[in-house]
Amino acid sequence: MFRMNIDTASSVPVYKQAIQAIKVEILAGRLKDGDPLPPIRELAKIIRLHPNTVAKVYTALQEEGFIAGKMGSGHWVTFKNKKLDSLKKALIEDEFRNFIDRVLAVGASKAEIKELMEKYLNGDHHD
Amino acid sequence: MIEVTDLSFKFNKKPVLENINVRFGEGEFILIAGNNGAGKSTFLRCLTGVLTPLSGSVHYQEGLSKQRIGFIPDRLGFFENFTLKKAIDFHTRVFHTDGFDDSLLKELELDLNSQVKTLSVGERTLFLFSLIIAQKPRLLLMDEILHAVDAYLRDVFLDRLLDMIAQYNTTVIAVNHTFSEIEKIPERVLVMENGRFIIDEKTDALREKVKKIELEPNGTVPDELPVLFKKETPYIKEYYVYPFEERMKAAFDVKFRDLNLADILKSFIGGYYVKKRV
Amino acid sequence: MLRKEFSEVLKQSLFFILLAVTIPFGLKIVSAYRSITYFELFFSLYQIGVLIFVMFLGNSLFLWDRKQRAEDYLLSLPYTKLRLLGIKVLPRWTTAVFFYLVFLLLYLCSGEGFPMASVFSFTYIYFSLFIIALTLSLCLENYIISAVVTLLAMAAFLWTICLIPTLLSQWLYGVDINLALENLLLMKFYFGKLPLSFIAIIACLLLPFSAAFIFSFKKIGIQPVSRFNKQYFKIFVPLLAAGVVLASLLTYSLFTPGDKTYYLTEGRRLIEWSYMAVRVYDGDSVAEIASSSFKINSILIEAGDNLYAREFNFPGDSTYFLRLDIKTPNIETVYKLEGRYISGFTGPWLFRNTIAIVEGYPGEADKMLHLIDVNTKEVKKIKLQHTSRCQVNLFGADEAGGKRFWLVDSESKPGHSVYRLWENGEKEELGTSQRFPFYVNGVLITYAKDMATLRKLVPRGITDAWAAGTAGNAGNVKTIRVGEGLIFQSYRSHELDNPPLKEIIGAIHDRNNNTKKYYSLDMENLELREMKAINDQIKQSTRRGPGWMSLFRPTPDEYYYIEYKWKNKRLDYWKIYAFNKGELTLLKELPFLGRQTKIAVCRGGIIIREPGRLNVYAFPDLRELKFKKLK
Repeated sequence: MFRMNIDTASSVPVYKQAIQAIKVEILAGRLKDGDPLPPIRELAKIIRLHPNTVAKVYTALQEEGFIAGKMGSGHWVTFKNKKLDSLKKALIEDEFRNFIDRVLAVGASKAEIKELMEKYLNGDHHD
Repeated sequence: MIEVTDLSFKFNKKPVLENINVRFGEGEFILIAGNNGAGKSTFLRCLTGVLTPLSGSVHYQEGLSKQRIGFIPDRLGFFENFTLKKAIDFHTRVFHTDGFDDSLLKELELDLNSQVKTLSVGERTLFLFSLIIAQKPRLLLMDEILHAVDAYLRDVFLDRLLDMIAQYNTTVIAVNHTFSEIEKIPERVLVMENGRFIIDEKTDALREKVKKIELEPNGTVPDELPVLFKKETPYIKEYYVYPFEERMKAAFDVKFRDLNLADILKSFIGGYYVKKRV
Repeated sequence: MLRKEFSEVLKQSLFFILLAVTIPFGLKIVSAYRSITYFELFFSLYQIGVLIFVMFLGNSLFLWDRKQRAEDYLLSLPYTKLRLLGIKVLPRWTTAVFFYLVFLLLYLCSGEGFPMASVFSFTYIYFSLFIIALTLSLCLENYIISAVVTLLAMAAFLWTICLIPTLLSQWLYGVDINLALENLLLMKFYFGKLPLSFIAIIACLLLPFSAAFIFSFKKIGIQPVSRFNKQYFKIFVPLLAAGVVLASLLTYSLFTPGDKTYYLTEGRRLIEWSYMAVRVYDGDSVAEIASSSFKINSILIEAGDNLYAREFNFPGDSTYFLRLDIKTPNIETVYKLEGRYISGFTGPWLFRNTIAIVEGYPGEADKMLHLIDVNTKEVKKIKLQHTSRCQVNLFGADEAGGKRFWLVDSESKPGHSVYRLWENGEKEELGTSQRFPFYVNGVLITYAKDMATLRKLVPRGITDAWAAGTAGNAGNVKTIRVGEGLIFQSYRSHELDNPPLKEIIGAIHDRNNNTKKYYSLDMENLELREMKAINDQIKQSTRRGPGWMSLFRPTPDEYYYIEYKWKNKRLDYWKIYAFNKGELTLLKELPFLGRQTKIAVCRGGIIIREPGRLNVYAFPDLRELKFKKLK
C-alpha cells in the first residue's frame, strides 16, 4: 500500500493533504496507470477519514485527471505522462523547499548543505 | 435533519442548558466537546427524547423515525439481565431491523447465551453498537463512550463506524472523543461551556483560528494577543491564541504553531477552568 | 416488549403464589393454628397478601428498568410515551384482574353466602390501591418509601370517601357525625341507588392520580424526578379539588327522598323515620324522638301504642329489635342479634309480651329459638332440632293449661312439618302439611291435596260445632274438603295472639288461568262457601287477572282487595276495593304511578310516596289525611 502521513497539527485541511499524498504516489510511479484504488469505504478505514472526505478527495483527483472512475463502482489511476513533468517539478520543488527550511533551522550553513548534498547524492544514498 | 430551537434545561433549579439554537444537517459528522459538566450528555439526551427540555424544542425532519436513530448513552444502559441472544431478538424486533449481522460478535467471541451484565465495558459498547448498526441508522448519537474502551476495540469500533457511515450515510453526533484516531473524521466541531455552545465551526476553519505560541520561560507575549489559555512551567511557556488572524503573523514577532484538534479542544476546556478560577 | 413485561410480571406473580401457598403450611405446624383448616388459613392470608402484592405490582412499574439503569434505552425505543406506558401497564392490570378473580373464586368456595358489603368493599379497595400504587410509581426513587407513600395516599383516599358523605349528611340533615361515621360502609346512602354511583365517586377521586401520572410521564418522561413531581402536583392538586367537589355533588344527588320512610298506625298516627330522627305525627302535632341513633329498617308489629321495628347494622352485621313507644315517644332496643347476616334469622313474632326469633340458616337443620320478654329484656333460648335442612317460621301461639306454646312450621323440600313447642322446651309433633299451616280460634289447619284437617289444640273456642261431630269426625279433629290448592289468608304474620274470628277467607290461585277464587269458611259450622259475587267481580274487572298480595287484612273484620295493572313495565294503576259483605266496592283508584313511587300498605292505611310528594290514605274509606307539621 502507500503511506500517507497526514499531519493533523497543520493548518492545511486534511483532505488537501490526502490529495497531495496520492498525487505523490502517482507521480513517484508507485501507483501506475491502471492501478485500482481502494474503494472509498476501505480507504476511509485505512487512513481514518470520513467517507465523504475520501469521496471529496477522489472527486478532486478525478477533476484534475489523476484518476478516473465512478462512485460506487471503483476508481483507478489514469496517468497522463504529459502532465508529469510540470507537476512533478512543482512537487519536487515543494519538498525541496521544506527540506532546506528544516536543515537551515538546525543551523547548517549553505556550504555544509552543498557538501552533504554531494555526499549523499553521489555516495551512499538511501531510498 | 435536526433543528434545535431555544432549548433550555434545568436540573434542580440549576441551569444546565441555556437557549441553545443549532442545526444539524444530513450526513454530517459532528463532534461536541467541552468540560465535564458542561451539559453535553444532557444535550444529547434532549435530542433523543430521553429528557424533556424545560423550554424550546427539538425538531426532526419529516420521515425520520425513531427506528432509524441510534443512541449509545454514556451509562451504556440496557436490560442487563437479558442474554445477548434475547437482547438481539428484542432490539431487532422493536426497531424492525432487517436481520442482524453477528460478525462483530463472532469477532469478539462473545457467548450469545451470556448475560449483558457479564460483558466488559468494551464488549458492551461494541455489542450495543452492533445492535444499532442493524437499524441501518440515519442518525447516531454517541455519548462519551470510547475512553473506556481498550485501544484494540476502539480500532474495531471505528472501522465499523466508518463502514456504517459509508453504507448508510449516517449523521453522527459524537460527544467528547478527542483521540487521535478520530481526529480526522469530524468536519464540524462544537464546544459547550456552561450550557451554551461557544464554538460552532467547521474543523478546518477552527484549525486556522487557534494557534499556539511556545516561549522560553522568560519570554513575554504582547498583551493584544487574545490568549485563550496558557500553560506555564519552569521550562516552557505555552500560549493558546484564539481567535487567530493571518495578520497577526506579520504584526507580531512570534512563531505561531498549528495545533491538532485534540489540543485545540483541550485549550478551550482549559480556558473554561481559567475563567472559573477567576 | 410486551412479552418482556409479561414475563417480568409472571416472575413476580409466581413468587407471590409460592409464598401464598407455602406460608399456611408453615403456620399449620404452629399449634395455635392447628384447628383451622388449610383453606381458611390460606384464604385469610391470601386476602391480605394479595393486597400487598397488588400494591407492589403498581409501585414496581419502572422498578426493574431503574435497577438495570435502562431508562436511557427504554426512552430511546421507537414508541410514543403513551404506547410505552400502555405496554407497561397492560400486563400488570391483567395480573391484578386475574388475582382478583381468584379471590372471588376462593370466596365462593368458602361458602359464606354473598354478603355484598364485604365483597364490594374489598373490590374497590383492591383496585383503588392498585391504581394509586401505579400512579405514584415514578414519584419516588426508593421503592420502600414508595410503598409507604402509597399506603398513606390510600389511607387519605379512604378517609376522604368516608368523610364526604358524613360531612354532607351532617350539614344537610344534621345527622350526628359519630352516627354517620359508624356507618362507614354507608349502605343506606349508596345502595339506595346503584353501586355504579359509588364507583363514579371513587373514579372522581382516582382521576387526579391517573391524569397527573399519565400527563407527567408524557411531558417529562422519567427524569429528573423533581421535575416530574412538580408537574405531577401541578395537575394533581386542582384535579383533586375538582374531584372532591364532583364527588360531593354526586353524593348529594344520591340523597333520595327514599331516605325517609313512613308508617301509618291504626290510630292514624304517621311515623316517619330517617337518619335524622324518628317523628310521630298526630293530626296537627308532631313529636320527635331526639338524637335518633336508631336506623329503623321496617316496622313489623303494632301492638297498641307499641310498635316493634327491625334495625340492621352492617358494620358487625348485627340486627336490633326495637320498640317504639308512640305515647312518650321513645325508642329502646329490645334485643340484639349478633353477627348474623340478614338471612340468618326469621321473625320476629310477638305473642303477648314475648318476642320470638328463630336464628339459623336455611342450609342448616338446627335452629335456635330466642324468646325475649319485652319488659324485662330477659332472654330464653331453646334449641330446635330437625332432621334435615329447613326454613322455620312460627305461625301461631297460645296458652293451654297455664303453659304457653308456639306453633312451628318447618319447611323442607317435601313439605311442611308442624310441631308445637311448649315453653318448657317440650316438642310435640303435629303432623305434616302440603301447604303453609294456619292457626285460628285455637284450631290448627293443615292441608293435604284437596282436604284440610282441622284440629283443636286448646280447650277454648266455639265449642258447639266441635261438640256436635259429624260421622267420621271424632273429638278434636275434623277434616273438610276445601279444594286443591286452597290456602287460608293469614291475619297478621308477625303477631301471633289474634282474636277469635267468625269466618276465615281462603283463596285458590289458578296459575294456568291466572285467576283467584275466594272461599269463606264459617268457623261455627265449618261450612265452606264460594264467594261467588266477589269472584265474578274479579273476573270482570281485570282482564289480566289479579296480581300478588292482593288481599290485605288490617283488622279482623276488614278485608281490602288491591288490584294493580302493569303496562310497559310500569304500574298503570292501583285500585283498592273493600272486600266486605260479600262484594267488592271500589274505594280508590290511583292512576299512573311513576318509577320512583313507593307504596306502603300499613295497618292504618296506604302511603304513597313520590319525589316531592306524600299522600296518606286511611282505612276504612281511604280518605286522605293531612298532617300539618309534615315536611
